[in-house]
Amino acid sequence: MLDFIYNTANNLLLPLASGGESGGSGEVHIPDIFSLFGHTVQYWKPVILASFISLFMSIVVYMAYRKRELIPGPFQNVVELMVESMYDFIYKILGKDTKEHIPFLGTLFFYILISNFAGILTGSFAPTSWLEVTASMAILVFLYVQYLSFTKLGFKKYFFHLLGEPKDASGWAVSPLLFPIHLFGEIVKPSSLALRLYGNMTGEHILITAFVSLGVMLGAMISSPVGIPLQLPFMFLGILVSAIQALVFALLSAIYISMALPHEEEH
Amino acid sequence: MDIQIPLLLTHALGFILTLFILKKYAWGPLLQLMDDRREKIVKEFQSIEDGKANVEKLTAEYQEKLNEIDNERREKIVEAVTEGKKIAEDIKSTALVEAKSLGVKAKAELEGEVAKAKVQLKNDMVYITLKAAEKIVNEKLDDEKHRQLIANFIGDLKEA
Repeated sequence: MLDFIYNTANNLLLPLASGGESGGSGEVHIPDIFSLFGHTVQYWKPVILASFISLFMSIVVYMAYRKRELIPGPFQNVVELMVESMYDFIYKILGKDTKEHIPFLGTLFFYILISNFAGILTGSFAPTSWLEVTASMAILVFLYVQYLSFTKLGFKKYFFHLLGEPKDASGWAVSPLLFPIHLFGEIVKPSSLALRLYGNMTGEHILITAFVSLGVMLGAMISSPVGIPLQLPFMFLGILVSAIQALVFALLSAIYISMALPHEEEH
Repeated sequence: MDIQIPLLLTHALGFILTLFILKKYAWGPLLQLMDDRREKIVKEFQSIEDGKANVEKLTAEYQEKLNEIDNERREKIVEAVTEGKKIAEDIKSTALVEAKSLGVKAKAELEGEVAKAKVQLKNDMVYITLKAAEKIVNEKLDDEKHRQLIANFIGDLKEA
């Protein structure tokens, strides 16, 4: 069934697609506003949409910042609710270190959340369905964690940690084997973040696109001027997936950060 | 599937910029504001608790004062009753003494009156006897002699 839907969507929409797009766009594309512009705009469209998202977030927080009061109004209440909810969520993982890392993790969460929702709301694509976007955030998480590890643990302790923290002769014996494994693990962790988000959002995008095209096809079969909105249930599912993926990305980043921080027994 | 490095770097740069803006205008000030509010609420609650404790303390002190006043009142009533009893006893004893002296005085007066009455009676009896004797003997005697005669007679009667 899914093969049929997918093939039908491909057959219907591939001729419409701009074709040859790079990035995590999959094989099926619904024409959007960017299709009207040239190749350059097509190329930069994830960054352009991401910039709009950044601008939107900046305007919202600036408005909340400018009119901030000790007794908050409705708008400030909503912004504070989001900020505090995120703080409380991260606090369960990082504890007293939350204040230091909440700007990075909170921005990451809301940025990914809005980016994911943008895909559903605009009916075209989410910036997070591009590997460049998810990879860039994952690389930033990687750099952040490495920076923390070096500054909090110091080079020697961090190197010792990569060796598997050997305590006896047998530990030192296997440490040359553990070192590349740990090093590889450090690289794999952010890679998994990027690929998970990219895969989920691309999958969601393809699924919605496929059902839009199927709806169009069925509409055409019954001579309807508009397609049947078969994609609607999947759009609701998409909302759920978008929120979960944003949460998973932020949560795993918080866990990586907590792993990089000195533990109680190291004090 | 090629990764476009310019896209990746541009996006990373954009994200860092967003991060700085949000850190400056959202996470820093808003979290600080929420902390301030939390601190203020905690202080207000502490102040209310302190006020409640103070009111309880004042109530206890007030109750203690009331009890003290009540005790003092009771003591004063007891003192007044004792004083009253003492005064009553004094009055009673004074009255008794006075009554006794009055009784003695009255007795003395009474005795005087009795003595006077006796003298009077004696005189009356002398007079009556004289009158009777006068009539009997129909002879008028000298008054002084009569009196002497009767007095002697009465003296004889007493001795008898």
